[in-house]
Amino acid sequence: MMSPGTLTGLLCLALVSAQEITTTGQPAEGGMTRPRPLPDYDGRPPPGLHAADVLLFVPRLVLYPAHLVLEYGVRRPIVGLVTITEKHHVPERVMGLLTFNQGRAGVFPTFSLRSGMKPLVGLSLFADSAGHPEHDVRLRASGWDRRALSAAAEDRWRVLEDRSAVLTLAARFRRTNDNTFYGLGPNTVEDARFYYLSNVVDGGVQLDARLEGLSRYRVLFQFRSASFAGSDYGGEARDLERALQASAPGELAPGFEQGYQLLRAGLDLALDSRHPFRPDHPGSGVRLETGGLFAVDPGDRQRSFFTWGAALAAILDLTGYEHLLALQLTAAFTERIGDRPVPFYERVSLGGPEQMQGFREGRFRDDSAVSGGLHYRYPVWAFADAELISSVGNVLPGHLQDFRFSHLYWSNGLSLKTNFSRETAVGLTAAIGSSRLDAPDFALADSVRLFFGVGQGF
Amino acid sequence: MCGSLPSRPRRVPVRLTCWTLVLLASACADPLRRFPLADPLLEDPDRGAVARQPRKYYSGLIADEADNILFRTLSEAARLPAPEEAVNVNCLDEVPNSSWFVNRVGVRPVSLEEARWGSCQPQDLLDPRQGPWVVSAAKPDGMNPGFFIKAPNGGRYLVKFDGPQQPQRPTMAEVVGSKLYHLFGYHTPCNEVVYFRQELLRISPDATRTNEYGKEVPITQRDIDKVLAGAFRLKDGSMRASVSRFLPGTPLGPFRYEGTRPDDPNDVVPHQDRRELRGGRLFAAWTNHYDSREQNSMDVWVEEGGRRYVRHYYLDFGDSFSSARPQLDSLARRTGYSGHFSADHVLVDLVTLGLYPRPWNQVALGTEPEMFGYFSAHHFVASEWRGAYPNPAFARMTHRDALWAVRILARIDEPLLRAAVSAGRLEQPRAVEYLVATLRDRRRRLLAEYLTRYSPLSGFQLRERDPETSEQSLCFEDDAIRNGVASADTTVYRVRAYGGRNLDQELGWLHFRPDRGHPASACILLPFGYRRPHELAGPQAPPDDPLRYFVIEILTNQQPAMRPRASIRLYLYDLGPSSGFKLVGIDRPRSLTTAR
Repeated sequence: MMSPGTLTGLLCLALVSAQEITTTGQPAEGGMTRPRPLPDYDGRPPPGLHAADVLLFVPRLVLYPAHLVLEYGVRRPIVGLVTITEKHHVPERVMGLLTFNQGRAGVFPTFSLRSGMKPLVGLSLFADSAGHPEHDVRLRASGWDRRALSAAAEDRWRVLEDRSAVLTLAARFRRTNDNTFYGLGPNTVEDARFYYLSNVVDGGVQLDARLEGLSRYRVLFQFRSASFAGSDYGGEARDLERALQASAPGELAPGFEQGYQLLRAGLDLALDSRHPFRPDHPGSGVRLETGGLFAVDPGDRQRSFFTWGAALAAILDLTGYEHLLALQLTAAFTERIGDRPVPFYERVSLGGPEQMQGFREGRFRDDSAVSGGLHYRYPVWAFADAELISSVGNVLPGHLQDFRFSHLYWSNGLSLKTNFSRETAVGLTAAIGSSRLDAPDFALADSVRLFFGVGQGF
Repeated sequence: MCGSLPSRPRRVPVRLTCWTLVLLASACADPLRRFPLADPLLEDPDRGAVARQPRKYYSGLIADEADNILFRTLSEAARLPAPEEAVNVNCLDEVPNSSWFVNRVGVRPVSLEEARWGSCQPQDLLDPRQGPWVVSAAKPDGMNPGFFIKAPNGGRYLVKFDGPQQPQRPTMAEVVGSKLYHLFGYHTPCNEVVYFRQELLRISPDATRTNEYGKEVPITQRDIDKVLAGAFRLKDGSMRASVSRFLPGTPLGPFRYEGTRPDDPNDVVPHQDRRELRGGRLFAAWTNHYDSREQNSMDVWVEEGGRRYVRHYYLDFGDSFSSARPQLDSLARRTGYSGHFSADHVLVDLVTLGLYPRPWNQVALGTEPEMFGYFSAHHFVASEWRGAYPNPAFARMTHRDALWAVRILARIDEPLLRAAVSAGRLEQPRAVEYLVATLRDRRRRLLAEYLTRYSPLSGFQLRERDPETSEQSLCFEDDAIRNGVASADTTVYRVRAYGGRNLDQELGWLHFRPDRGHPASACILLPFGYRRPHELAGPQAPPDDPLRYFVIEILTNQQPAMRPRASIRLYLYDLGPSSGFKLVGIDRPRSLTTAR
């Protein structure tokens, strides 16, 4: 007596045979036009129903619509489109339209998305070796509406014998109405957020030069003009006092109401003991970044100040193949020189992609800032590393006046970032920021941030 | 019992359960699938005349990579596919000759001459003393620069150079790879290394190239100089290049590793189910041919004996014997161990904080790092090898497909290997020795992995011992002993024969050790045991009577202290004392199960 499996097998054989009969192309005089029958390679009847097929029948049925969508709604259209663009050299042709002078000059549309902030669309124009082999020009303009505008012009000269330095004459204007201010001092809260509009114009000259390995320095001479106003961003126009739940706005945010002009001169120095290239060079080392910037208002000499600070990182390669554990300590100070208070916008700050990533840029502002972080960076892909970052920090009046550990805020994050360079990386970061450690209703995730962009690595 | 449950709302799941159980029972019944009394299919009739030339197929580099890394993987995953065996496998577990594959070293002795020259015929060879070589077009893509030429012998060739990275290695790999793949049994072009002088080159007036903006522009001397700047040169100024003779016929573009070519009536086996494409994974692993993507293949519309059909070629082996793009160390280290984007590796490394042990963290440059990078035998595990991105045929390789490739690799001894490597014309003997030693060690690791996990026996033949008595011996070879991955001193063969209508009747057994005089080959005198199947069937039974059908199972125990891990089953018909036995089927099960 035949088993059910045998019957199934025979049925399958019959079906296959029937299909073969209907699809066999006769080898006519000119050759076949339809598929030949599938040869019976081993002469055995086809295998019967497999146990896995029975067990998977229902899950397959359930997932079949997903398979259909993925196959015919996603895979085939996208792969087909990419194939056509490759076949007809579409990217190269677009590049040909956007660039000229053998690719040394061109214009590109730009688009940037920022979490919780307005997107920016614009144009970027570049001209390399413009008029001189060592001369490059960059022009950029972008915006969303009249309250979100940005423009920049840069004139770059590669200088020094080995072209290791770039002298840049630059002018930049930026107007944004989604800036946030939480007040000065060490005891600010997330809810007391004030949106403001800023108009900042910078113009000047700077020299960026490389030293040995990853070490570098920058010298800067610049004029800055800044003015501010309240903003209706976020749907509700609020006064500074109401937003910060306080009075006396002049004291709350010096420089906010009148704006200011500054002449700025600064020097930044980075010294790094690590080798710039990864292969065969373990990532252990020490990096020191330090710098100072003097600023004075040309119309009011009493508004003058000096900002300085240092960041020290000790990096240990745990395995010799880029499992890096780093301890980073940062301190920054703003020293008032004249009688007038230092504008709120010019004071040292924490938050943003570089430090305390769980908080918005400029989330903490005051005379001095301190932060300490533990980083663990490890390879997860040929082109990317992951980085766990845990840091604490806060701003304080004076020179870290009344510093207490319990007054710090805590930031934790995870980044996925490119690993081509030890110095800079493009990455995606998700981070959370806590309320102050001594807050009675302490919250680990008082602030949540997600951002993508270029950042400095350690 | 199932139907007696009264509650109505529960009927559907109960019925479903019942049906599932019934289907499961029938599925688990696994009916006997007898091999017929017939000769094995040795030639696949897939070279029949085709009426119309198939269309050319364009394969996009980015599209194919994105498809195989992401889109196909997702779509396939939602289909919940179960492992299935390859289709084009004959009853002796071998691949018939076809328009894809010709059995060479796997089934017959191959001369050193053939290993050296591969598919090249004397008329294919390019004389570097005779010019001009007229440049007609530039090579459109790929990692190494080159151009197309027309030679005085009328032949057209693709000329490729090494480029500034790893001098000599890409041209050597292009040539040696083609020789080895020819040896395995694939169709390959005639590739050779030549040294020539720049004066031989002339630019055809209508020669064009596609520029960086996708436009066809004339080729200038400056373009040629740019390509030649990356060429390896001898002290006398002659330049090293690999030349590849154009394939005879009309190129139709690459073949896909999935599905069939719809306009080729001969192409009826889905490519992912072709054993030679699945098993190609181990050949790629051995040579570290990580760029074994569809763009490195070619279908050609050929004419042979008045018939026109499509023949399938492997091309472009220039990535082999090395690690990818040596200037990007993190990628070079992972070559062969992880793909361009292996989501499982990324995820595991992310979750385990990068502490999961990975071979690419341990690899070190060999003694010839400038040429071979991280290419070595250390850390090489063939079954875990990965190409640049998933290959649909490689992904479906089963242990039977792997063992087929292993049987071929087991027959490539060092003289054959040296003959193929000599075609690479490397200038430094140390580099030659490094390559030979590395390939030898990688092959040994590969063989050790498979031939100690599965049955190492192959080359089964029925031999007549004495023509007068028609006594027969079943002879075989032990690839593990022959290649030194198992010891003849510890190996024991346990042989059992089963017959009867359901192959459940033991007919006899014997245990024996390899013969010290010829440890890698052994013979079993037939019949052995208590009864022969012919007696069960009776003298009047037809030749293909089910009772004449029986199975011999051979367990190879390489470590007597441990249980054998796998067996091989040989299916035979006993045609009687005068006609003897006929071997009709071979099966290599994954594990020890009922011998049916």
